[in-house]
Amino acid sequence: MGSYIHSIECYLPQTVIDNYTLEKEFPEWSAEKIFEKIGILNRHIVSSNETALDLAYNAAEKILLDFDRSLIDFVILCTQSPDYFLPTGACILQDMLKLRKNIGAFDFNLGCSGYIYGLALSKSLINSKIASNVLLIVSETYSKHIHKLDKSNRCIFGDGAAASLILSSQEEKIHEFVLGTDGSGRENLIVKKGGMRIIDSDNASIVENYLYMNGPEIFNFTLDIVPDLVEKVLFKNNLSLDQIDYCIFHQANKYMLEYLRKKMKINPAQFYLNMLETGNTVSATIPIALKDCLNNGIVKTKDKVLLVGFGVGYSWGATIITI
Amino acid sequence: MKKEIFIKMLVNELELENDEINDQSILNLTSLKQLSLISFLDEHFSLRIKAVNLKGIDSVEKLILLIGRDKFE
Repeated sequence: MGSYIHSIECYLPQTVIDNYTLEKEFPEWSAEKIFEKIGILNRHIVSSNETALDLAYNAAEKILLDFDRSLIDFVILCTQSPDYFLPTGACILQDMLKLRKNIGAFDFNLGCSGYIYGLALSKSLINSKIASNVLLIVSETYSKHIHKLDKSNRCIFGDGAAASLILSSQEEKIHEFVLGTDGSGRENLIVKKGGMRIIDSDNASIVENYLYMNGPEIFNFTLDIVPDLVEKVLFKNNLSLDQIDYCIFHQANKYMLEYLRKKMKINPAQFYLNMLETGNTVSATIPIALKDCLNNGIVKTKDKVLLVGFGVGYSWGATIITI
Repeated sequence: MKKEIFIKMLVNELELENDEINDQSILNLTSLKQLSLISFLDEHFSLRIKAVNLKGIDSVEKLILLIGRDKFE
């Protein structure tokens, strides 16, 4: 018994914010400089009445155009922008997508490591025979958490969703995982409003009401964690870096990824770096990248692809898949 | 590392506009420049600087003190 990624579909909201729009709002930054430093030209942003659940629904409908929805026996939704405290978004999706009622469904709350954890959960459900056909959706709308004057985060983050079908197979194509957590970094990437710890958000400071990211400390975290994570996941899979055909890391920002790539001596031709049209879509960056690689023949059948996610929590994870 | 070479590399890394940088020169470390500085110090001095320690760095002299004078010829 094994599992594999059968297909991926992505959905991005229609509104696009380009660097020239940001330059008009923040004239101290030029459009060219934004592109040069973070490698982003455009980011898609939801409208005021559009949510992560809407993006998730649209991505799921796209993938179910070519797959019999009556065969789906588990739905997993990863988001940090839920429509409601309760019920869970995955339950609403079961109804919106007209899926069977005798299926499992739940949400989990993770950011940039979310897709890796979603794959680990999907593989576990399949290998334990709880499910055979898992619909894994990652959907994020960080734009709703960002203050309009926060130029750094508005430049970096975009909204988006990706749906993946993880199915059972004879051969295991989702290999061993390494996962990690360090909650001591929680204050460095956080949205405090909306939870139960800070009830009176009207009186809270701007920092508490909106997304706060300590960029330099997040960078330090990735330098500490990612090289070791890659080494460990290669070891666990009895592989070396030169046996990996392609690497897809969470698309955080160009500067960070370039530095990590050089530090780990990964060939640029085997390293995905493309946030031009989407920005950092948090848990959706890895499947969006993987879909792009599949569409453009960057990865092909039987290739071994290293997937690495890291970020808010702190939380991180990596695995290797066979295409 | 020779201090003159360090300063030349720093000007390049932080894209400082003034060519005549010396110990007393003021550093204005924006968040992007902080990222550049973290990677620069990691790469050339194997030194990891916490973000909180970068807050007080407003001159080349303070940066050299943070790195350690013994690292310079």
